[in-house]
Amino acid sequence: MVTTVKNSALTVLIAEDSAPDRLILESIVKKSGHIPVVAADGAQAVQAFEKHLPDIVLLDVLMPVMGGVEAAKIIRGQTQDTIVPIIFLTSLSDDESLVECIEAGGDDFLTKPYNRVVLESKIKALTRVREMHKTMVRQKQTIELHNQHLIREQTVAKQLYDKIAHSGCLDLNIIKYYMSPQAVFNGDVLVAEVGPAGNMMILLGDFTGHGLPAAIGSMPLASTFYGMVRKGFSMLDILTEINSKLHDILPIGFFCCATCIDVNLDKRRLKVWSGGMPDSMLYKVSTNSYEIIKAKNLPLGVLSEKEFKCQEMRLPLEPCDRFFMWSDGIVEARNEDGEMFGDERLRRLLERRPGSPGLFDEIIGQVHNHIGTSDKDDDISVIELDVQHIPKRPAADETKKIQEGHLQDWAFSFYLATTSLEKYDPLPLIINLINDVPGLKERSSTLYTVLAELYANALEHGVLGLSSELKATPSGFAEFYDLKHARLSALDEGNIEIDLQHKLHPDGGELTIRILDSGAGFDFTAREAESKVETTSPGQSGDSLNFHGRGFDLLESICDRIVVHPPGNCVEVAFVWKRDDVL
Amino acid sequence: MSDISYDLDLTLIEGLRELLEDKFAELIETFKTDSARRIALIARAVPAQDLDVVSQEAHGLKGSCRNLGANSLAAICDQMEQDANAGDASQMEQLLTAIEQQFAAIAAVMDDLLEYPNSD
Repeated sequence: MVTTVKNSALTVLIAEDSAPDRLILESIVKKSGHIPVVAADGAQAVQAFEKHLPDIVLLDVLMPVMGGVEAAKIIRGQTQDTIVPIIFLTSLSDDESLVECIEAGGDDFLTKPYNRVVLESKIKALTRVREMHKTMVRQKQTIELHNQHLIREQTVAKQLYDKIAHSGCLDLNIIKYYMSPQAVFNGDVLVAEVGPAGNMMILLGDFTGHGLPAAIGSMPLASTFYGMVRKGFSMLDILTEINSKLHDILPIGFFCCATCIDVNLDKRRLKVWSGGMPDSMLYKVSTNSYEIIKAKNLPLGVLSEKEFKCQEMRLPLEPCDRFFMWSDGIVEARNEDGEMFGDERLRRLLERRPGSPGLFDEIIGQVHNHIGTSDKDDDISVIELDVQHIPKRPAADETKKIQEGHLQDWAFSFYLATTSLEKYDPLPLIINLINDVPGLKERSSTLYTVLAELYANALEHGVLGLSSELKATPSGFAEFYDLKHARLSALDEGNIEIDLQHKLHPDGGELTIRILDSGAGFDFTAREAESKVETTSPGQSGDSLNFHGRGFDLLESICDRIVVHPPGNCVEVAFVWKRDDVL
Repeated sequence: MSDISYDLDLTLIEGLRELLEDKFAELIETFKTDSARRIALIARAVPAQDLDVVSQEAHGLKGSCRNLGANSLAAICDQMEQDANAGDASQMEQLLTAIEQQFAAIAAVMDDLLEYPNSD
């Protein structure tokens, strides 16, 4: 019989001062398949407890030397983490003593005459409680471990996120932004970077869902954004790429609402793309009013690459204009009564003192006042861009270190055949290459201008044979571009070759760019004459009149040498840079 | 001693015999020795009016008696314990006498039980 209960045999401490009673309990415990340990008083019981660490304790209440109640208190003091049930042995009948027993840590009572069935049941019941407690303690430890693990993972994820998301130009003082800590891990993402053409792009995204799953999508978004902006891709190219990336990786039903702007103050224009986001506002300093920009697209990640069509808005821009955007967290921020901050309140706030420099802080302040201590919807991202020329940033020391051992003396030849000319833009690829060269990376914006000009000339005038005369009038400008598109799509023969050569000088380096097109060449002397006309009367050379000639002047101002090889379809420029040049 | 009325639960005792098996004799001997010791302590404490000892030993004896089915003896012990706890020494002599008489009768029956196990 004993063997069947062997694996659940418990050590039972019996503390009872009457020898015959002790003998009976010992027999019951043994017969039930457990191991008895006996003690004749409270002091012995405490000693035996420390020595044998029993699973259950039977304590007589009235014992010489030390009573059961006192012994129970000592034993309880030693078993804080584990449950060791204590059963009081008693013939007491007055309630007060029973209360005292329970308060001392007793779990049950056993009255005389001792009964085997009763004691066995009590041991079984208390063992169940004990097992439950053990399981609970084990699960609690597991949960604690999981929790620690989760916190560690979140810390790592946050570091990773910060490295990716904050590697751009968010630190520029013309960008004011506020993102509540909860917003970051609820999938709000903000990225900003300056492109090689001197434009700046800012994207505010709001992923569906909450927590880590929502935040994870911001990683590919941020890395795609930065990678492509730096290489000079257009906003539409970047959004198309982000959209298809998110479409591929995000589960069904997950997407990213976003507003993206491309600011080019040189061209005095703002491009806005918005999908699924609340209205953005452009404060126009000229009219002292706001232009409301509505989201016209589906969020990123919803449509496949084929279905994705970008509708961007172009707006004229002046210095000191201000652009505001936010995720829906600010509109939906609730106070203690569950009332939302709301679009209305936000509009009133914006209208009260249009374009005021303190507006941004006021919005944040008002929203926090509204939320008060309710603290439940603190999921807020707000961005304000003060439209100013982008301040130059000194090159970070660490980029110099990274670039050691990179390209120094090299040459590169890139041939674009007919089919590539229609849609492919080779500039991002070349800028990417240039960014790998110490000394050139810092000048990539200037080089982008040079390359863009040379490539446009080769394509438009060389391959397509368009006349630059057309661009002399504003209406001709439009005609020029219509013609360009028409000829491009009808193009069946043509190519452009781009050759780059870089040589390191002791104090810097020299980059030679040679662009050869399949066209008939162009009249160099005519250009020279045109150029002379312009340079002799700079005061009158307004932009609108000289769009067509500006390109070469620009090249002359940047490059150290310009050679046009006959018959005029091959232009070679040299760009010399010095290490200590002020950027 | 035949005129002493007592209550001994023989069914309970047979249950103990089954439970303890070869230790049943030891149980009976231990009961007799321990009870005799307690009664001697009470007998000394009653004239000395040491009610603490009386209460303590009457309590112990009461418990053992209940465990061995000696219910009438347990009842007398309980009375003695309660009186002692209440500081009432008026009945002590009589209670002590009753305890001694009952114990002697029960001990004799128990000896018989050991010598002649139940024929059932």
